[in-house]
Amino acid sequence: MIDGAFLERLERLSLVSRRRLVGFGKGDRRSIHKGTSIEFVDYRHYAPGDDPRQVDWNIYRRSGSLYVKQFEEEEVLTAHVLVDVSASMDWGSPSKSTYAARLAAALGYIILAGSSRLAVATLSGATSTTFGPAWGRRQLSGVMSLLERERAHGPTNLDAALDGYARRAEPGLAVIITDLLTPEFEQGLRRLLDRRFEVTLLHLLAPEEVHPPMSGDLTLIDSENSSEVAITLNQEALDLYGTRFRAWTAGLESFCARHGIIYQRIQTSERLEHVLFDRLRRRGVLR
Amino acid sequence: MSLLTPAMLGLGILIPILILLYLLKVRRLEYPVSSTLLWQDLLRDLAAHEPWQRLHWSVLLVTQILIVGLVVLALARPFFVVQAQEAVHAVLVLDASASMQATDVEPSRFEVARRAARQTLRDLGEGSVATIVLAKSQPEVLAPATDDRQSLERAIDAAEVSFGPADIQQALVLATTLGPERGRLRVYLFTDGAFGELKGFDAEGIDIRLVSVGVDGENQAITGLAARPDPQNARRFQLFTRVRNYGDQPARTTFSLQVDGQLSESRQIDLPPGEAQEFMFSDLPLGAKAVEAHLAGSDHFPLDNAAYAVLDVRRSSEILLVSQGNLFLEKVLGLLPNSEVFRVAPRRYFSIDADRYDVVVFDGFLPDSMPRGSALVINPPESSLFTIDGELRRPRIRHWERDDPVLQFVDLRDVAIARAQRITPPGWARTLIESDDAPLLLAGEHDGQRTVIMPFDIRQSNLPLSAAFPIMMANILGYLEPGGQAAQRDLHPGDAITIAPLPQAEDLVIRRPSGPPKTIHVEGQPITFADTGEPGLYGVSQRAAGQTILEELFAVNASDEQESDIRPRTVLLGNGRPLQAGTQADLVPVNREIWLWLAPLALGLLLFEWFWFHRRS
Repeated sequence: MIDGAFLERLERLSLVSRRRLVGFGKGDRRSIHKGTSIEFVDYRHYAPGDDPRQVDWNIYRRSGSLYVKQFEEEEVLTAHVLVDVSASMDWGSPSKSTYAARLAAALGYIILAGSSRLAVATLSGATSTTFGPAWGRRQLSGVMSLLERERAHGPTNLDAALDGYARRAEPGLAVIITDLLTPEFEQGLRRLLDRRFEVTLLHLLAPEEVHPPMSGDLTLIDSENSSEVAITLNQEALDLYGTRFRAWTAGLESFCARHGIIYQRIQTSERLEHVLFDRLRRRGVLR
Repeated sequence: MSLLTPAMLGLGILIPILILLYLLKVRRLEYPVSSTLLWQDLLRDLAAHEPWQRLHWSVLLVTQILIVGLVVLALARPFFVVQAQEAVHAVLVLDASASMQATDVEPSRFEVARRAARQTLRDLGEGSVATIVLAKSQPEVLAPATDDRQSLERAIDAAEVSFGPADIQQALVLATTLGPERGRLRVYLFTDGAFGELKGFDAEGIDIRLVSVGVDGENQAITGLAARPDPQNARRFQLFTRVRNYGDQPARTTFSLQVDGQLSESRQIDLPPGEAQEFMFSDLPLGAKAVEAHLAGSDHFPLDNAAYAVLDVRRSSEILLVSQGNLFLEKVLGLLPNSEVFRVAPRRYFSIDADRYDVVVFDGFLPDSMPRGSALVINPPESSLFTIDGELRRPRIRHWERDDPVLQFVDLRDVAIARAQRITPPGWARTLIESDDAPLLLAGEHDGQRTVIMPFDIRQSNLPLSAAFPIMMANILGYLEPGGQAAQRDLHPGDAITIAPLPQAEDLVIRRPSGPPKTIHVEGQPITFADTGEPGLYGVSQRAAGQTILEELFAVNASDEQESDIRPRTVLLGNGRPLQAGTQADLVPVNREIWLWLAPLALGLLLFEWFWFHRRS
């Protein structure tokens, strides 16, 4: 799903929480200062600006590398990565679900490496399957096995699934990866916001959904509910689709903007690296 | 525009059906998508009418409607009524008589007729067929009924004018019996009219059109040139000639005479219109062989401005009489002109060379092998030539061939015969005199040599005393003598001549007025020579062992009293009605169908539709 070299590069990234900006200190610091608690959580590479008192000199003596010990703070950030695994995600080449799993794993690693608590949930129908909350890099394998186990299936009911998750989970930062191909999701998002979740919406689409490649007389079959739409795809119909698509995404964007949700559209044709290191950083999701 | 099969327009229902097919929902390909969420709204705009869809006027639909429309229209067979020539079976009769060689129209009447025929072919209505008939002495079909204009034009190009008269009537009868192949029969006659009226042809019910060629009949001709021995002096010849002016104007021309290629006489003559003048030349040099007469001047028909005659100087033939002595025979053979008679007794026959005689007369004797020359066999004994089966007593002459050259002018009514041999006629001989029982005179060619058998002793009959005897003997010897026939014939161009070679001749060399001589190898058999297209003097040399043993001439003359009269005339039919002139065919309303144009148009659109469809996909 994700190779080691890529993971190492991901170390340089961290998730940004707007609410906790103060707690993270001033802007150019890459690491979170965690020195006050006595509960050891993890090691991480030394970064300029870290308190030298936190360096584990024993490790330095053995390996010659500077590591700082991290201890759990009293108020640790909990980050939730919610992945839509409804049947509609299993579409496209590569399929959106595969892409979503890799994106979730990468984000999960960034969160774990950033010493935040991580909870990963897969949303399908009205239910969710949850991993965590957990912390520490070691938990990555658990995250991955959940993502691999949960193949895309069933219909989407984001409202119900998000509602259920919001009830159970500890509020924190929620990154939702979904194609939003469902009419009901606004209620679920509102519920998360109500529960003081800080929501980031990664809208994952296949390029074929943005620019349909097919033409002619077709019966389009819905992958979730098998409903059929008979249509003659000529240029006129494609133009109409384009108009409709833009109106839809504009609607989504305005909804998210109204509710303080970070909205980022991602196409599966984009390289994951580019998405993480460029798109999400520009958007302020990562830094 | 009207329609021949308007019912076919009913197929126009195909156009609404075609549009219906476009309106009907087509069978669609199933295409799985992640979600139809975004498409469902679209459907409200795109597919408002179930199960119909909105009609899109695509290029394909318009093209297909046009194709169906064109095909349906073509099937209805629309036509315009136009004034055009109707389709006929045209028979083009070309007069190839000698007068068509006249040059009063450039370059000649025949060439003008040929051009007119070609033009007529081109003007024939669509779908016509044509036949080309060349009228000569015998009509000849040059191209059978066909609509292949090229082969018809080739046939016209290949047509050749003749040197003799043409039997127009027979050609027209042939033309009218050809029968319409397609459409009505229409006969075009291309002629100068320089022939008699068509007495036996009234053209009743036949569409026959005359195309006249020729404008002027100015012609002076040598219509006759004949030589005969001077009654006072058999070695001299008298020459008769007749010159006629066929034109309507008085003519002055120069008549010249050449004897054996040397100019011997030249005189200016004035001829009133329609008049003829005759001349006689009696002072021809001794030993002259041939004469040519020429008319100077530029009339429209040069063909008859020359005439040729061969003076009948016959080589005397040598006759061998093998007989114990027969006064009647010796007497009558001695009377024959141009012959020398030698007599030999039968017992001395084998000591002489009988092969060098032209004719051998066997009287009461017959050798086992016949000589090379021709033979007259009188009162023969038993022989290998024929079988004798006893004797006839007082045979009565029942019938004789009056028309045969051998019995020409011979009256045998008073002839009585006492005894005759009963001969079974051999296959090669024809019976000339018949009794009730057996033949009394036989003639034929045995082994290529002419043989006459007279199976009775003339002394046992009153024949020698009758007036028929010398005539009959002259005829028989004339039949038996080789060569010589050439000079006697009055030949027209194209006529065949039979040349009987001398017994010993090996080759015949025939010299023509122009062109290289022709050598023909002979073995005693008569040959037929037909390459006489050119008027003039022809020489025949008989050669043996490299030596010329006989030199003869024959003349081919193109002049013909009737053909020399080249004045264009109205062609009168048998009922006295003149033949109507004109090549203009009457225009008749003709349905000109246009489906021929619609069909390729539809095909072109079909190709375009195919191209458009594949271009899009």
